[in-house]
Amino acid sequence: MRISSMQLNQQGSSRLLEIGRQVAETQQQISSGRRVVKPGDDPVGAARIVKLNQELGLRAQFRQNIDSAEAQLAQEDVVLGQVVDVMQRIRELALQASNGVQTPDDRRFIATEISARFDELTSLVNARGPNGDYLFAGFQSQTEPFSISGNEIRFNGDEGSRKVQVAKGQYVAVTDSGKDIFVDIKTRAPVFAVRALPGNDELAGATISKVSVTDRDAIAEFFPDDLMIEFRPPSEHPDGVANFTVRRVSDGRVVDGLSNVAFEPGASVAVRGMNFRINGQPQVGDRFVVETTDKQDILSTVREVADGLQRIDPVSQPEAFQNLLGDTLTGLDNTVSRVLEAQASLGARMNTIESTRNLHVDLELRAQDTLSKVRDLDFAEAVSRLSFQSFLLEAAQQSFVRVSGLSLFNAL
Amino acid sequence: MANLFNIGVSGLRAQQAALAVTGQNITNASTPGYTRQRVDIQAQAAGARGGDFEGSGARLERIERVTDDFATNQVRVDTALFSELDTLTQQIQQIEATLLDENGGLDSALQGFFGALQLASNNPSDLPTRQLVISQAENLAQRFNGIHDRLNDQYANVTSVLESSAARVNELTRGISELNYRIAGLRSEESTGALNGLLDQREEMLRELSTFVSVSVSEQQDQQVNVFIGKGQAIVLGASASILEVTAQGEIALRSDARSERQIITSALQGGEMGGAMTFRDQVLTPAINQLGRIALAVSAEVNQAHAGGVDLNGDRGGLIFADLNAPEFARLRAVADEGNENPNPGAISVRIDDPTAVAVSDYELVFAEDAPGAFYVRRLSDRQQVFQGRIEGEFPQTLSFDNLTVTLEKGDFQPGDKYYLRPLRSAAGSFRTVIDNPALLALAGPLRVQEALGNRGEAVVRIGEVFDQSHPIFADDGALTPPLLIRFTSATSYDVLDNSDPGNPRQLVPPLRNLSYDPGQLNQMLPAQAGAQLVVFDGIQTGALPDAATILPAGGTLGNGYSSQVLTATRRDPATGSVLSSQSVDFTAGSSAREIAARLSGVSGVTATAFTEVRLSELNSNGSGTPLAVVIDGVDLGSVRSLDELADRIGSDPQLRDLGVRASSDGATLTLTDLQGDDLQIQVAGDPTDSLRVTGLHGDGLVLNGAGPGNAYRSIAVGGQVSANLAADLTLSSPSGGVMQSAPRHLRADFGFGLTMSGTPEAGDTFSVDYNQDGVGDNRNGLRMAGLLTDPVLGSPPLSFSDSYGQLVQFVGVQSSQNQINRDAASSLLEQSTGRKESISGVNLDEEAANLIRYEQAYNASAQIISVARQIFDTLFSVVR
Repeated sequence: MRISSMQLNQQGSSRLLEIGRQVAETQQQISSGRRVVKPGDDPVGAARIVKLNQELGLRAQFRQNIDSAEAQLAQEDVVLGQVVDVMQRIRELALQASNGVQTPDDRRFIATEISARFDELTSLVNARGPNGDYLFAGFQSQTEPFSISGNEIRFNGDEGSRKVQVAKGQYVAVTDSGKDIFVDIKTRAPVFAVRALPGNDELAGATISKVSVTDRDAIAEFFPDDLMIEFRPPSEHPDGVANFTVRRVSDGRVVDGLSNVAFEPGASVAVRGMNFRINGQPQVGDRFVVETTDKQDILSTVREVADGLQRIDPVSQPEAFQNLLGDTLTGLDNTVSRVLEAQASLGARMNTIESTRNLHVDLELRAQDTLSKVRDLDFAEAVSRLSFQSFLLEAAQQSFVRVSGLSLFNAL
Repeated sequence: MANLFNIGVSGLRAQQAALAVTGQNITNASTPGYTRQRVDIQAQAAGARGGDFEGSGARLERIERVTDDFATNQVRVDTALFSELDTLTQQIQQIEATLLDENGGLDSALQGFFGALQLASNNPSDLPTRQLVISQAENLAQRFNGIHDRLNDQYANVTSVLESSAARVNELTRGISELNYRIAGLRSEESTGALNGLLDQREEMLRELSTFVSVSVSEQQDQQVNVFIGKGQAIVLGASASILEVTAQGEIALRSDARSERQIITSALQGGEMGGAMTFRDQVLTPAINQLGRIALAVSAEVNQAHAGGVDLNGDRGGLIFADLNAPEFARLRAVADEGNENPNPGAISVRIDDPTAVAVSDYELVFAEDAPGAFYVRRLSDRQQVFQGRIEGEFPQTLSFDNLTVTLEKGDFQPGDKYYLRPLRSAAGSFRTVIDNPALLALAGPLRVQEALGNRGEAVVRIGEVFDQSHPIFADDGALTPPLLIRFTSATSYDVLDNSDPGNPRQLVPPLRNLSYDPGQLNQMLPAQAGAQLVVFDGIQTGALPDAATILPAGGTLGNGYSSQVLTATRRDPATGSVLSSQSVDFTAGSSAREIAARLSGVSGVTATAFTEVRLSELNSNGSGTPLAVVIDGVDLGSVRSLDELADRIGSDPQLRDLGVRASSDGATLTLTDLQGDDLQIQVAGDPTDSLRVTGLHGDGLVLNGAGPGNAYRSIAVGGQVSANLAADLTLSSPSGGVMQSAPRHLRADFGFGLTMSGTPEAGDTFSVDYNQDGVGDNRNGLRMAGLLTDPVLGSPPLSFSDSYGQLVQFVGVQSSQNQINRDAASSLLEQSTGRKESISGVNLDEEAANLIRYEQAYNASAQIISVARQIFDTLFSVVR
């Protein structure tokens, strides 16, 4: 075949350019350390790189979540441990008080220590996390969960439990509501709680407070029904004075004939073994609820024993004294077992996230490995490829020079 | 002898010409487009001499261009192919690195944003962590905008490539047509040297033309050529050339001269730089921009939607995190009028994307027919399918729905032949913006909370489920649930859902959700769990009606409830079109109890019916002279009673009635008697005529039953119950005649837009209140839900997660790149081969020319020797004569 001089030249130079391009490409791969520099180098690999990076990012995120969860769980565990210690001490004190040889002074000292422990317990159940969130307030993490005003101990949190995502589709609770651990504690016998309904005249500020249980059997019989106290118009009372009616919540029936009872501020009212008191200036239409319950928060239980030890004389009121200690011990025991249960659940969660973390670490290594295989360069291969390509380039250059130097004109 | 002289001279002339051609070849050895020439020297014949003929020297016949039409044409074809693929590859390479940039790609920004949501969820009340979410959202927006801008710049670059190519094509075609003219003129004079130069020039121009666009060339008798592009559109015809243009919308148009009509040839044009640029624009770049746009739309829509379902630190419901890409100002930018549309009042069109996760990755064309005024069709450009056909109805706005898009023709004149480009996704990634700026407004908390009453005795676990309809009226007010709900268990296996607006006195809802059943063994959906679930209450005139007068019966005798027979039809309709899909009828015999009706109805698919019977007793008058009033309920003799409270207590403590599901509650003035299973309630009284009891059913003031005097005679009535039917959203219930159910009963919405599940063992009287999540600053439920969107497969079909969808985009561009790289390399070697073939025919080989030089020089010298020999012969002859 005829070869034109220009063709000879062009072929040589385009070959040089092509080899030069390959050398440059290899050189770029080596300098970046990447096999896939742009998607076109390996389209499927490029998509896998996106996916693997995603997986690595997610797992790193989950590990970060696990660290945060672990810190929160550990903190709760410490606080719960302290709660158990305090409870054990209060239990010892209560048992000590039940000992018949104690003098009234001894009991007063015991009551004083229980009061001190009560304060300690209060600060524990109102513990805050490092960021200022209350640990046991549920979702209301900026609201102090247990508030004490006068005789009233109130739980202001909710039943929320915050979760953290530790793996795809796997969530672990990192907070426990104080309601579960400290409030919903089964009592030995039904007790009651009081509250004003929203919608009462706030300005007048009538309040209801709990005085005492006067008849345990009567409450037990009435349980689980509740009472509703509603203030009626003065016109319904023969003397035209402020008056109220007490009804059962379940069916609205008037209880013990307490219909349009004249109201005296601050006087205590005893219905079905429950003694409570309404203060202030209730307005017509104000309503208060007296709820029977077989649950009581631990702060109230401790508070009651501290008060009762000073108030109830074991000699003159042996039954009341025995009931007080019996209720207290039941409340303490139930709380301790509830707290231990919560700690066990914490431990289980910590184990779960620990093994999840290990899983993440393992899978991260594997993904890292795969990513490296897909994306990163095999240096040995690349370097030998580069040296082969430079060899080719050199050979092409030399042969080009040699061939283009051949000309018949040189011989003329 | 003179002949010998002549022969020598002719040789000299011929060799001289040959040397000149060789010199021409040598000097043009590197001239592009030069075709090597060859002299054609022929022996000159002469007259007869004696019996033989004698030659009379050599003659230059012609200077020949050594060329081969087939090889030339093949070079043009391969040039067009290579140049197309080369342009395509280069263009793709300019965008692909942007997509797989570890710091500049979209995946790392997505990761950053959703990771920040995770962090904020770990610590929802912490403002600095919340701020991080916002800065990551801004980073994500910048990344979307950055990639979009990069791709858009490339789009502008393609347009300018097309425009400059078209300009060069026009120069070339004008040059070719001029050469055609000159070649046709020269032919007659037969000056082959000049002709060869012109042919070379034209051939080189044709080759260059084929680097811009694929051409086919046909040579005419007079050596002029006609050039065609696309599907036979002439661009050069003899001495005239057409003009190629690029329209504002990027279409390629052809017109035969400056005044003539434009012809759009976009889809026909192929090959060359223009073909490559258009393939890149239409097959790679536009789909890539659209796919990125769809991801942007889906991210903003999904995140915004989840966010709107949450509550922020101030207790308000979540607003927008990202700009709403379906807002009218964006919707209007998505339709572009063609520049050829009739003026002066072009139509305004807006395009709304109904479901960003399901919309097709394509542009559309809305075209008005030339021949039928008002008729138009819409074509999807990805597969060129017609997806909608319609006509202007005359009133604006007119809306069209197809492919998850709602297109609104807002106003203006839509003329026959008008064309609009609908680009739903084109600008989305560029419009992606973060609008939230206050970290406290990040709605990480869930909107609801549920609380268990203090006095509950059961062990039930209740959980708020997903909010599936944020636009439900219950969420209408910020900071409150209207109304708050109360779930009250009436037994261990049944409950009511009540309106808890007044916690002292919870009321029945409208429509009432009463006596729903609960299974302690499993997870229960406590509220209708389907958006649009409906409730139909059977409150026809016969329901719970009392007879006109009481019947006298012995204690324990039975009466019917007086219900007539009725046929009920459940009809299932397509929610979009309203057409009937199926219907199922149930008929009841006269006197069926509510319980039986409910059981039959529950057999219809999509219907769950419950029944209960309720009667109120009041005005008990039992102070007559002799014995007090005696009452028998459902055949159970309760003896004489003096007050409603006493009666209620007796009913409550009777084991037989309790087993029947009969409950009573009295507040002293009214006793409400309920049968939870919906059986008929039969009430019988006996006593003195002055003793009486008022019985009230669902309708009217009721009936006073008074004693029938001494003896075993009881005044008796039976009252039937009511049925509530829960219907799926697409069902309606009807009946040809009124009866237990009205013929056209009211269908009321029964769901609350959210789900609530409960498991465990509640007890009668247990209550759970559902309220707005006020002050829930430690709640992260919505934050977790939003963070989970990263890996949720939501986009496209089969659904992919956001980042997988982006991975798909990277892969798409990568496949295009590598595929075209391979094709380009193949085309390159094809071009090399065909060029080589052409060169081997037409190219100059210097060695060959050097050899020719020697050859022709020697021949020249030899011819000179002939003259010298002739002269010597002549001299010899002269000397002999002298």
